[in-house]
Amino acid sequence: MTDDYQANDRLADLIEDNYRLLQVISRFGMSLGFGDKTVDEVCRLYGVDTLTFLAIINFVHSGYTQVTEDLNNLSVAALIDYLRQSHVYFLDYVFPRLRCDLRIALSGKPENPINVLIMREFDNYTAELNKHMQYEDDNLFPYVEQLLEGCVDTDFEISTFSKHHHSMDSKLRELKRILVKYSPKVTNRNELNAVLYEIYVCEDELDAHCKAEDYIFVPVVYNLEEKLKNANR
Amino acid sequence: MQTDKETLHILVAENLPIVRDGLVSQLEHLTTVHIHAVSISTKKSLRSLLGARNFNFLFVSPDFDGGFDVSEFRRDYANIPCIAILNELKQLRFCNEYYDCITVFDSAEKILSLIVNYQKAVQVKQKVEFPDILSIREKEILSCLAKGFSNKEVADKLYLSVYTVMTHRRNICQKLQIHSLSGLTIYAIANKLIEV
Repeated sequence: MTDDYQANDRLADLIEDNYRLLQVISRFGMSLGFGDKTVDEVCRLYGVDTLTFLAIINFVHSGYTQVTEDLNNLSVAALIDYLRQSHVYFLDYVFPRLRCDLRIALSGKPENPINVLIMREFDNYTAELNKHMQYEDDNLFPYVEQLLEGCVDTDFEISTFSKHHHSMDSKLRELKRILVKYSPKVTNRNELNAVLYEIYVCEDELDAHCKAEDYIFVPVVYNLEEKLKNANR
Repeated sequence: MQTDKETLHILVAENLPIVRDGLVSQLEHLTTVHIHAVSISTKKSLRSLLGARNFNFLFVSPDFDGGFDVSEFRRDYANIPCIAILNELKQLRFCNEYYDCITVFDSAEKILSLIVNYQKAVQVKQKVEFPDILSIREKEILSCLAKGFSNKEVADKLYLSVYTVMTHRRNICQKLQIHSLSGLTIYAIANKLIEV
């Protein structure tokens, strides 16, 4: 249950209220050091559509339960940028860092075969996540960009995509379960606990990303499809 | 134990913020089913969300955004049960066409039973005492799989049909909540089912 943030709120105050909003801010390409600038001022500075930024911020702040009433007025291009940046964040930053930390936490001589398998499990998950996000980068977003140019693809519809879209979190849950239940004793136990904690945080972030796609991006694209279909009738 | 059950997606369409947010909060806090609820307050958003994705339930106030047309909704979305949210008992007379109704006086348990009764196939979290315990046969099959045997090779080795091996394999994955071969191998090593 939340009061919605507004364009004239100070961005620094938002983060102070809810540090989870940091993930959104960085993926819109904004860097810390906002001073006393308002949401609208920072959005203008970075060339981000304010309404779209607020829609995501308020959705995350509500615990992903409140969808903006301005779905029709959001910038599709800004949403695509945001989602693309999220993919880069996970694939180029979060997972390589997690892998490195997990490798260190599980290192030890002689190497335990379970640790080798845990690393394999991690790599398999990362490869699948990569494939999942690559599909969206290579197929979904270009499709939507075509819609923005007024081209309707008769072979693809956003509702088909949404039916098959899932958050990839059950496999990550499995990896966590394996770490909790079957990790061999390691000397770096603080490191291993810290990596597990990071994986939990990452899981929350992936879930948030998936929900933003499902409840904001997909409905916005659906509206765009409907508008084009009506215009072509 | 947390199991990998499907999430129920519920849409809440209600004018009053306190009722809307309160219901979402109640739904999200139910522990026996995984629920993700989202709320909206205009018909425009209702149309966008219903068009864009599947929902398992719609909870809606009969006077939602100037009046909700339940007949039209049932015609367009026959597979989504529509439950009326009533702020006053006298509104009951408007509810004939709804699948069911709840009132602001109802408990979370009432809402839960309504959901579970409808969704017969709903994935209720199973509280299994010892979910990890495998049968001797399952352990045998798991150790073969962990050694790198294919389903066919396991079937030949243990004089079983491939179908039976696959059924055992499915049950093993279900019990352990592990589905990848490397994950199953980790279990087998950690539980000394195979030597390495």
